[in-house]
Amino acid sequence: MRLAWGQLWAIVGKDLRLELRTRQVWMSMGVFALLALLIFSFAFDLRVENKAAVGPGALWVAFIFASMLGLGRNIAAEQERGPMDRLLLCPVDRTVIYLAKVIGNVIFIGVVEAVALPVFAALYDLPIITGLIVLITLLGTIGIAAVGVIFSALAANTRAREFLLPLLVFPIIIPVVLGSVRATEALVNPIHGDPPWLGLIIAFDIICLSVSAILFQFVVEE
Amino acid sequence: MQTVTRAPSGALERDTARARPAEQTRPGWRTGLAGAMKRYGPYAEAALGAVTAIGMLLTIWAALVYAPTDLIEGPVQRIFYIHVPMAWLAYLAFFLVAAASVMYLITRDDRWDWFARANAEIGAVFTTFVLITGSLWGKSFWGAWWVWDARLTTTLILWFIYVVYLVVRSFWGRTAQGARNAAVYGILAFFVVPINYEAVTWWRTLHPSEVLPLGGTPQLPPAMVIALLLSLGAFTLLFAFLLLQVYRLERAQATVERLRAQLEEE
Amino acid sequence: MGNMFLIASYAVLWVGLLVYIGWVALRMRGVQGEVETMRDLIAERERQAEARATKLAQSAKLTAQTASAAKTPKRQPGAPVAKAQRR
Repeated sequence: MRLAWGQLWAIVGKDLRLELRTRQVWMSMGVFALLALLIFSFAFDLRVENKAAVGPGALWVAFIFASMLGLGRNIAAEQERGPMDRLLLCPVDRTVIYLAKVIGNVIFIGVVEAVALPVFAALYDLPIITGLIVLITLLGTIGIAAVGVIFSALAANTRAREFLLPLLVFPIIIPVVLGSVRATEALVNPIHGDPPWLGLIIAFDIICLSVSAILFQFVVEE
Repeated sequence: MQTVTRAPSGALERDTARARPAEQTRPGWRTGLAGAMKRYGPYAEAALGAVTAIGMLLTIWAALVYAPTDLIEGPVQRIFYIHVPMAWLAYLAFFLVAAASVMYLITRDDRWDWFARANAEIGAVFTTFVLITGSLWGKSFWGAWWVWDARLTTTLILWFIYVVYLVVRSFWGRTAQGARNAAVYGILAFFVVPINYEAVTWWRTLHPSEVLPLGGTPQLPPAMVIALLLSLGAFTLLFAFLLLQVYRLERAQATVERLRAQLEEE
Repeated sequence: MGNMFLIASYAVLWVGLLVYIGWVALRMRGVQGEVETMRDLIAERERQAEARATKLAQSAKLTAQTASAAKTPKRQPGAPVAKAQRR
């Protein structure tokens, strides 16, 4: 399958430029992620022993909910305004559109995560800022975006879009949640003989990306 | 005009499906099969119903009387005979949903959509019973209504996937878009379930105490095996019977939609 | 003690299955009723449409007849006119 790299990066560039212009969704996502972390620190009793147990979970829940916000606004807004229709009129392979949107959203969510991580490390006092956290976060976000993009396109243009997207996404991304949280925990509390969570996330990403890339055309056809 | 409402046959009537037209020049095996189905359909269906009922009664006897009582767990272990077959069938139904969804996306034949919907509904019902019986068993064995056992947890996730599938169907109604969306969801969910199971198993190996010896007992005495197989057969018949009923229900509802559209046209 | 759970599970299962089968049968009957109603309505519409069509045809014929009848009296003023009018 020849991938039209030029088209891919063109679409990614367009999406990013669009977001840079308004910056609304970005800001809201960032603030939301930080607020979620804050609320978790009140919801859970953060004694020293608990922090390591609760922290990674809180972090990833914050990431997931922030991603849901971002994905929903992003793709749905596009379909409302019409650029999606125009894009579909061009003879671009639907797979390219899908991958471009995934990449765009990963970058998009990644910026928010990059801001939230140091804050999280400070608030929860956990030594997670290592090189590995970048890899874990990246792979986990790819998983969330891979599932989120196709379902957000599916639920777009519907009146119940906001709650339909989480309904669709949450059962499917459970392996990513498990893997990412456990991998993040392992940074704090390395356990001997821990299963290869990163490998699990990679497998999930590969499978979801390939299956969704094929299925995307059915979602956006008229 | 009366045939659709009166005839209990399971055959596919011409005027209900947007099916591909059968070869009209050469009467091949398809028309022969359709003809046979029309003539023997009602008898076959009645036979299926009867055999299912007999099978169910036999199962009750086998599970409660014939099978020996387990030495370790006592009579409660007999839940095993209804819990395990339903679990297998719930997963089979899920596979069929995914397979039918693939066929629907390829052929766009509504019949695959009806088949997928039927499987989803019955699968959801079976999964619910699996969870309930599993929970009752767990309460008796562990004293807790729920344990995060790998298999039970995966089944819980399967339940949610079924529910979301049905929500998608009901949200978009009987439209082509709804069928497509549900198909996409079903297929993606199917590919994720194995990874899911692996992940949950790894998660649970960190807490090995919470493993329910529900279905994986290494060596079952032959009487138990027979009872289990009998139960599996009976439940499979029930599954097939229910599938047939719900499929016809879906088909009938599609007919109503079509007639309604026709009515509104005039 | 354990027996209670055993009985409970079997009871829940069988009752539940019967309820579900009943629910499917109920829906089936409802839908079949709807199909009948729809077909009756469609047949009704068709009959009405047919009746309208035949009425139209009849009135068309009548106007054609009166039109041709109105032409003929001009040739013979007198008894034949009366004959035509009486008819």
